Amino acid sequence: MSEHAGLAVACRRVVQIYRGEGGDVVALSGVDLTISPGEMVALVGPSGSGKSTLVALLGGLLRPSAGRVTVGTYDMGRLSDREISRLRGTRIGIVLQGAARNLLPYASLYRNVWLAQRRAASTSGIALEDPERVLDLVGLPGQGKTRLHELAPGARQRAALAVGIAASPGLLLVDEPTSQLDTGGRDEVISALETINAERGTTVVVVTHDGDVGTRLGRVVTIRDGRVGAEGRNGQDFAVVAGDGTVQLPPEVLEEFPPGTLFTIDHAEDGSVTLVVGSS
Amino acid sequence: MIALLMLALRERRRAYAAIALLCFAIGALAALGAAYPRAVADGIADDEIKTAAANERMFQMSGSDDTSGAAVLAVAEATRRLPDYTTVYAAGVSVMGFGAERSVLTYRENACAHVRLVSGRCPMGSGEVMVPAGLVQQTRGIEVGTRLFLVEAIKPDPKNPWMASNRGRAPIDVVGVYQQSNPGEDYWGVRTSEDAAGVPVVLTRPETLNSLPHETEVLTVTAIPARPLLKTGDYDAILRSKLDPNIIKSSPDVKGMLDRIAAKRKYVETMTPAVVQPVLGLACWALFLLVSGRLQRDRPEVGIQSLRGLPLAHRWVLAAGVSGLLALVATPLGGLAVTLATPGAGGSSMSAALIILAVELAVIALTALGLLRLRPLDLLRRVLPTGSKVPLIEIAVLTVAGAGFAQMKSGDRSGLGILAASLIAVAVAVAVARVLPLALRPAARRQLHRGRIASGIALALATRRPSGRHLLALVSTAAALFTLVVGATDVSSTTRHTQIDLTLGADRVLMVQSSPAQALAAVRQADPDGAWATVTGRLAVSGTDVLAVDLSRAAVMRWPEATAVAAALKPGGPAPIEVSAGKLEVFIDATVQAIPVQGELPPGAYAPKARVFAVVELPGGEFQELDLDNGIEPGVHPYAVTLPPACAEGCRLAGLSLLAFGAERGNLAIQRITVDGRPVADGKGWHTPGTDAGQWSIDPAMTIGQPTYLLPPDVPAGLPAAYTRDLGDKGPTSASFSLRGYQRAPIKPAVATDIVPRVGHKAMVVDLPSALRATLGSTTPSKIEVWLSAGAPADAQRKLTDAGLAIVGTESRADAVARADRTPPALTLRMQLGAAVAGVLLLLGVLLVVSSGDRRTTELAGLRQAGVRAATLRRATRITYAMISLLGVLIGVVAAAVAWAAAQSVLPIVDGTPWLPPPSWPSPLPLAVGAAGIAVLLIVGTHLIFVGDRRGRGLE
Repeated sequence: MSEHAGLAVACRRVVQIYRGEGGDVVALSGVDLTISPGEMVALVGPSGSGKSTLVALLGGLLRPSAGRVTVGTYDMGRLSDREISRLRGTRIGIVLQGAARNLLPYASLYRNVWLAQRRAASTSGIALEDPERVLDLVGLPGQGKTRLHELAPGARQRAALAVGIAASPGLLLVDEPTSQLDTGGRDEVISALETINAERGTTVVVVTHDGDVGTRLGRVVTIRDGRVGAEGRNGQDFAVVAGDGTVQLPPEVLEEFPPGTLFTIDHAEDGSVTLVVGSS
Repeated sequence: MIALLMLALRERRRAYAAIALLCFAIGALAALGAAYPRAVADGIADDEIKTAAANERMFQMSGSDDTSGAAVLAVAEATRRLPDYTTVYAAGVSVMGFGAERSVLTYRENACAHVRLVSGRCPMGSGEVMVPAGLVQQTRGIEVGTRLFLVEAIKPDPKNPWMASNRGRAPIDVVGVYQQSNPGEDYWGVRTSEDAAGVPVVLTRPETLNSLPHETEVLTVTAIPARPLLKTGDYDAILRSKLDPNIIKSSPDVKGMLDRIAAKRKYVETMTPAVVQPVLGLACWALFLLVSGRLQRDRPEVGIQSLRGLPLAHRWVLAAGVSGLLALVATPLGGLAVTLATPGAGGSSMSAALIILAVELAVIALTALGLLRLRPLDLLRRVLPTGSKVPLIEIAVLTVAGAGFAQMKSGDRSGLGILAASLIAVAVAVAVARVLPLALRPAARRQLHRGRIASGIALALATRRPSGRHLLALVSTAAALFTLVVGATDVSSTTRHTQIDLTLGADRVLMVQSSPAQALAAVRQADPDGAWATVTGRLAVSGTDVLAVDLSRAAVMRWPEATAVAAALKPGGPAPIEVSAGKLEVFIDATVQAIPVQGELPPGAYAPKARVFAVVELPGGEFQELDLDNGIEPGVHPYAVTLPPACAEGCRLAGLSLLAFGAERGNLAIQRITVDGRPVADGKGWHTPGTDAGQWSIDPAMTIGQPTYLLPPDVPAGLPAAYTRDLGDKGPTSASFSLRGYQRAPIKPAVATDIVPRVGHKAMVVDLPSALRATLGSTTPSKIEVWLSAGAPADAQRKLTDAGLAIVGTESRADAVARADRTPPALTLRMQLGAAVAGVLLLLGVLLVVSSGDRRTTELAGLRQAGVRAATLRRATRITYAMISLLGVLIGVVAAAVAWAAAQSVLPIVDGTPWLPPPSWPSPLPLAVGAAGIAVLLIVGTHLIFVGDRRGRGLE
């Protein structure tokens, strides 16, 4: 596997349950998702739908309660903590929501990127890019000596992206990169993501509430109630058949077919399927 | 990485300053903990050496014949090569020629450097001498320029005085008169019997000795050990120093002093760490809290580094590196500062600082490791998940304290055993501080349910947050150690002062060379009101020491029981019979009959009639016996004598004595007593010693020539005495003083006491004037002393001297207190108190740092976001720290009380065995003041932080 090759992602019937004092909470209830190497995907959905949990599973921050999460050839559920830690230091980049959380405030951008390369640097066989080059890639050329507080919000977010890709990961997980940014800043960040994807072939998964970001990334996966509810590709929306054969209806359709509605499924010869509401 | 650490340090220098200061303080305290016992032990050793006799602090060997003289010379030569010793060689010949008495013509090497020349110069050639100034004063005709002829002095018969030998004489010239620059200087060696007898030492050159014909020359070598060698108290070091065994053997007393020094050194060096080490533990705990607090604030950064898979070593360095670097720099600096500021601290203080540095680094590393072990997701949370943890620290502390207690109980006062008290205090404080928050948690809920938001939040912050629980434990521990040491200091001080009061008896004691009567008269003259002086003496009765005191001045004594004892021993009674100058007539009714003398008397001999004597007590207190005219005749007859002129000022009729010679038998009875015909007394109340009987018998069985006495009514039948309980519940029932003759004046135990000042546990107290009267002056107390109260005038000694007292020595309470304050327990407790105070100050610093950081905590920020008013939060945080301070101090006091009850015996309270046992518990006042002081200090300190915080709008 090339060091710049994007990593494929596959989730099979992934279930995630949080155990708490007040009872268990099902965050994901059978997610099936496949992302091809080098693909850019936006995960959208309402708050609490399970987007961040899914990203945490992809980054190895959580182990799935059930199901299988595969990143590249790595089955994330079977890796040891040490292996996952190494993977995050070399093959999976994570950018948390809020640029400042990703950076050491007292260190320059150069030092931040350099620090994020330490795990990869200690792993043989990985050639690391010069931190200045990484900053160049996200549109911060010559800003190596700059510190976080000296940057505009959009630039800060791109600095966070630079840290995320410092070790040239095959998968970049980005949480809300455009929140609280103006349009210009948002465009700069999306451009940076596109550049990263284009130049390195990095698979990019972005959690966002911003529909425009999804549109720009090409593929939008909507997470609803802990499942993949829908997908949009190149501007067209699709329902998704889950691994257990269920299909989540879009909310506007669901209003017309309340739970308990009975219908029959007609297969036409041209391959189309028609749902016929039955009468009792 | 180092560059990153430097950047972090520069960015957060204010926050890290607290850690640096704490590390500096810990280094300084550790160094001080090592340097102080050493300095104290050196000081104690110095005191011991200064007060030791010369024979205990130097080695000396003498020889006068060929063999021993050669040995002395050999030892002198060998000793000169030893760097740890100063060698003084001397040779002396006894001579006659300086007046009538013997002198010693001495060559003492390098003597000129140790004398002050009164006149003339030092001897430079043969035949030249310098004489002591005392000899010049005593002997006429000796001065600089005098030529004398000397001859060796010999003493063939020890019973006879020294005499001149017939070996021939040698001329000498007196070229100088000297005084010893410092007679106590080690140079002058061990005082010999000749020194004590005041034999003059005439200093000269060796050639002069050689020119004098003599047979006996005493050679002496003195090896003066260097002070550092003595101060170690290590006798083995002497043995290892290659000093000649012969001179060591000839000076056995040195070992005794070195052993005393070694014992005191060991005491100080063992006991000082008993509190210093727990305080250092406390300080390391404080360091843990500060580092932990810093790490909590840096947690998101630690989390993101973990998220990126940064190797553990890198994360560790980033998390703990700055604190570690600060410890590496600040701790040795603290140690160095103390080392440089403490004379003689030596390398041990720096070693201690480096050892504690290792502990600090371990604390920092482990604190960081605790955080680094968390999952990235937990590190990135706003609030760390809580879970029940095994209380490892509490278990460890309780285990160590238990081990210390067990070791102490087994009698082993070393290692943990010596730390038992402070370990128990720490363990109880830590355990209670762990349990109490659990018990108080429901109260927080109740307060919140009742709408008392501020106090509810405060209780929750104090009981639920790890930092709150740690702070409570820290305050409890510091307060426990402080209270324990304050209690020990109080009891030790009380015990020392009580012991001083008991061993001295008064604020000042003057030793006088006077008879008891003279002393009583002089004191009455100098202090007629009895306000500031009294007289005491010592007697021995039936093997028991008796303190005789003029109890009419009992208030002068520093003895709480003095007044009660005086009241019991000086009950009111008949007035004394006063007689003035004139003719004393005693009318005696004698019913006697002559009896044949057994055996044949030699020719011309006869058995005289019995005679009566009157005993008067002169105004000066002396007793005088007056022979009444005529022998005893049957019937009522006056027996008269003229009273001495001294009685013009008034004498006391002290008694009558009868001297019989075996020629009569019968009874005598006093009818009346007159002076110049004026009646002064009748016969009522007169009694023989020890009885109430007024019958005065003559019996042939009486020892012939021995007087029997009849005492006046003012002398009680038995002399009332206070006795210590160690002499029995009822006191010594058969103790009595002897009178002249066969009669005895019995002692009547009147009141029991625990101790008799200046004497001890097995002793009695009597009234000195009463004792003299009861024995008609035949009992003579020794060791006459005049005791002065604190209110004695500045010129009290002069007044007493003017009244005729010869004062030969003094002891003062102030000097005794100063000496007692330099004993190992006092000095050890001083260091422990310093360490405990340092612990409290460290605690205050930590509390201030932690509380000042509260405005940035996510909990409070969250509460603020949830709509709690800033003023309510400020009040809650103030209440939190006030609660922690008060609860901590209360827990500390309880913990100290438990430790006191369990392990008081290992605290450095007493030096030796005091006459009275130390108080069981400290006085409440110093403890209350100490505890309140800590609480106020902490509450005010944190309050000021919040005042500053409000100005800075910290929680807005």
